[in-house]
Amino acid sequence: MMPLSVALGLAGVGAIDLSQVQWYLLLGTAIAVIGMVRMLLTRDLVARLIALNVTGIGSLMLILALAARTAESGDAAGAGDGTDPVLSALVITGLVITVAFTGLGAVLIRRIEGVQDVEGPEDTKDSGDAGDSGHFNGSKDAEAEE
Amino acid sequence: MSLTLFCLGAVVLVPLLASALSVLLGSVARRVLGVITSAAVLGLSTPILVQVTSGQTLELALGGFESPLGITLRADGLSALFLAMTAVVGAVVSCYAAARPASTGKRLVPGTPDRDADKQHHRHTEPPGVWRAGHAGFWPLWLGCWSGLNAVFLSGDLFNTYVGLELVGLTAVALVALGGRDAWPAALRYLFIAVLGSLLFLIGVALIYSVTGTLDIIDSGEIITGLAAEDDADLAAVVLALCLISLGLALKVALVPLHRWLIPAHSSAPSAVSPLLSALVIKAALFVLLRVWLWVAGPLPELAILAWVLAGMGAAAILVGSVMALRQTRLKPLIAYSTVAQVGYWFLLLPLLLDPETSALEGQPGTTLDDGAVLAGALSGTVALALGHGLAKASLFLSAGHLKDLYGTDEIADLRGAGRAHPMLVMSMGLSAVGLIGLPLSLGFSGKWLLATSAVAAGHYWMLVVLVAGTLFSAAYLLKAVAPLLVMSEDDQTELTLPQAQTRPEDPTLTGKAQLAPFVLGLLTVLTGFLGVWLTGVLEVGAPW
Amino acid sequence: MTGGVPAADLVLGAGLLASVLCTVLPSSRFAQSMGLLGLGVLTTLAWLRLGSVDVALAEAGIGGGILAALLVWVSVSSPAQPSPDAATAPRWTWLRPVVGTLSAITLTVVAAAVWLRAEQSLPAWDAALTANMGLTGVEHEITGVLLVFRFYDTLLESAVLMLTAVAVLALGHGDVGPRAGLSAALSPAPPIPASLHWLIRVFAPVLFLAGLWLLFAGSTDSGGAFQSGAVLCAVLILLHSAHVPLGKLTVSWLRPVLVAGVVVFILAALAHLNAPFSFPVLLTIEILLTLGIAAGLYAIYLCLDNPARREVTT
Repeated sequence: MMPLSVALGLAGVGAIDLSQVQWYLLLGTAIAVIGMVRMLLTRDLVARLIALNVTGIGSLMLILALAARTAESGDAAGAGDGTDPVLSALVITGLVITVAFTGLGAVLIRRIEGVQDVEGPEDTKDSGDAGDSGHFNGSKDAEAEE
Repeated sequence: MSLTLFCLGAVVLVPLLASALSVLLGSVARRVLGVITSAAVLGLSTPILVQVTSGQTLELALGGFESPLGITLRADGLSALFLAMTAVVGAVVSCYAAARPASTGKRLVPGTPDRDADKQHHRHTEPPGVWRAGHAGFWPLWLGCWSGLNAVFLSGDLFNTYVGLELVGLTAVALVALGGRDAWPAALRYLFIAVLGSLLFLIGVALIYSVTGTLDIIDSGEIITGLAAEDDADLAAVVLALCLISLGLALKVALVPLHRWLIPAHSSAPSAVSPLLSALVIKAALFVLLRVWLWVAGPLPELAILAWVLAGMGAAAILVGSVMALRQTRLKPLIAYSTVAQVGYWFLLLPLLLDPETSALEGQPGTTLDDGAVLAGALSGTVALALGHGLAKASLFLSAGHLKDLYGTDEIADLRGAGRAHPMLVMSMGLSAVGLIGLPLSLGFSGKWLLATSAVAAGHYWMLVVLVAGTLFSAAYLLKAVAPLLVMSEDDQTELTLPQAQTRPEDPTLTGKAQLAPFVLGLLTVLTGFLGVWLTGVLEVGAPW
Repeated sequence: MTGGVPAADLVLGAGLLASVLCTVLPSSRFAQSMGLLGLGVLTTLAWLRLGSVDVALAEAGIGGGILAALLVWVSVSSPAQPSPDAATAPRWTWLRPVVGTLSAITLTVVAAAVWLRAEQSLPAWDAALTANMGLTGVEHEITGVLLVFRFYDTLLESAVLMLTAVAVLALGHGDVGPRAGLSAALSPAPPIPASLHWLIRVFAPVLFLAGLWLLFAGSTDSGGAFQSGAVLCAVLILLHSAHVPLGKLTVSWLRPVLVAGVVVFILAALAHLNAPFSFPVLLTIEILLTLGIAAGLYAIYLCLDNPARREVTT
């Protein structure tokens, strides 16, 4: 898939007269889509969390590419400090939010996979609150019925 | 700056301030602060509702910077109604949680449990932690969530809406996780869905921005209308943006077939959290959906396919949610599936927005419809259904959670005859069932009536079938949930078979008083029924037509 | 349009796609998280190519730095999913990758086609931005946007980070009191080679100074609260892993510092709902916010450690 995507990208560059901004728009789309598809198809929790981050990077790249339009329309293409400050600020905001969610997700994964560390071994079915132990099993049943 | 405009900012910032301060407090102080904050939010929301009802849209340019550069807070009819519903439900649930701390989750404390001593023989090592009922982490998280909800309802800016949705999503995930070990997988699943939905929304916002050059909701709506009026308008980007935004928000509202995360999340959450999630949190996404479809995109004919797809998913949701609810044997999952079914109603109006038939009928001589009357009716019907659902579902989840906490189970079969021991709880369940089914006098009835009349006016007769079928289904599954609890006496002595109370209430008087909370909400469901016409009037304030 | 993509961007783009695939395709958690680390580095370069030093710094600090480090840490400490999911493996193992590849290509092509065709309009705020910069008291435009023009976004966003820390602390032992959720702060970090100790102790002050510089440079140049907070958090993590006794300090100060920035920000916002902040207020907010961000990120790091058998007796 990797050579295919790269070839697709390069072919696109050849076919249409892409600008730098459009190139990064294309990249951002590809990265976001790849992350999203992976996130939906994997079952491993950490892999999902990582794919979520890839999606986040892709969508932020879209926004930052839009931010660079100002620079491109103004002076010559390339690095300059003409990037739209409002959109750059939005990207920083988005980045911090993604980090916050990833942090919560990582801690949740650690707790879920380390249940034994958290509350001791052999504490699976008949734990303190007997009434609530049916919880998760119950919800699993509910799903299985579909 | 007038007092009302100050309220506009304060209604978001005050709960957030309380949330931050409560982190430093002890658990009793947090409960007191929670109740005080609820009162404050109610007090701050009232002037906004009064002002908007008098026909004035409120706008506050934050920091004094006007719209393309700064962020505008804007309260129109739609905002004010959702804000008010959130304030009422939030305040009542806060009082409930303050009266019954055990309903706020389960906390892990270090050390060996004394009451589990009999189990010690098969433990090889010292257990590092035991679970106790009640989690004071509820307060900062819920107050933060409340602030996020108000931020979403009042935001006049698309990116700010994204940030508000994230605040709501993050705190909602964390609130689910308070349910203890069994709730963690559900919380994690919810987290993935919430973030994926937000990212789709964000990409959609970026697309809209790239076409319009602004993030302000009203401004971008005007620019898109202007674009659509041009002859060779290429609105593919707007259509794609609406697809992404609708998909992202449908994930967050749990529209069938994207609903599967909701069942474990809402049913394994603590008793005080499930009502908040079901009544309020999914409404934030619904609110943004209505905002974007009505205010940003406007009636673009290119969106017809998407509108029909979403309405089809809505109809499927009513069917699937109801059938699945009928198959449940436990209260909380049944109520969660009923949420899935109710979500469907809120998407039915979309084809009405875009269908040219609507305006064609208005143009005909002899029709008495004003401009946008069909639209106004459909919107106020949908909003009435959503608000009614908020009140009723909060009441239903509170009662079910209360029973579950008392008896340690929410198996309907085990709770037969609970009505004798807890008449008030079961009565509030009955009242909210009236609201959810949409029996006359309730807000749900007004909603269905408004939606049905505008559907007929626009010639969308299919919607009547869906509404009637949905009503019958909801009557069936709610009877299934409530009727066994009402059984008074039977030959097999049902009340004796009620399971022994699992947890000793911390304070019996307070626990008794806490039952008032679902009752108040249940009463409100039924009493607000006559507000249907008033709702239509309020929604006219700042309406896009 | 100037036309043509600079060769450097083409190479960088290919590298980005390659590292995305290296992140997404492997089945080992460690390989995935290392892939994400690499992707973070390349993304930082991409931000630089797009001309945004601030975002590049934020990415390097928060995204590439702290975040990837957290995920590498997670993948090292729990290298595989413990639940035996293999038993319920789907029948057609080849189906998922194929469906994934096909749908990814389709979606990319469709979305990219729309993006590239869309008639774009430039931002409407350019004139207003330059006209209003004088009011802010800061010279750097991005800082101006973050803390003055769109301060409300930043306020809600710092609340998100604060509540994330509150949430992860709530997943530990206890619910109220200074020690709640912080058992990892009081227990010793896993041992590290002795040679690293002095390295860390030398590096930490340098990093600390770099963090402060980023904070104060923010008003005139690239940098600001988020970048600086990430660097300060990295200092804390390094010190903790070098067994510098921070436990008592953390327990008594983490929560107050965590909320101080948000509280002051809200109070200032309530006082200035329709007027811009004055510069001293702005500076106070930025400093407290930086400390709060550092504390929040550090809390997430500490809570990654399960409250296990090394509970410290009181």
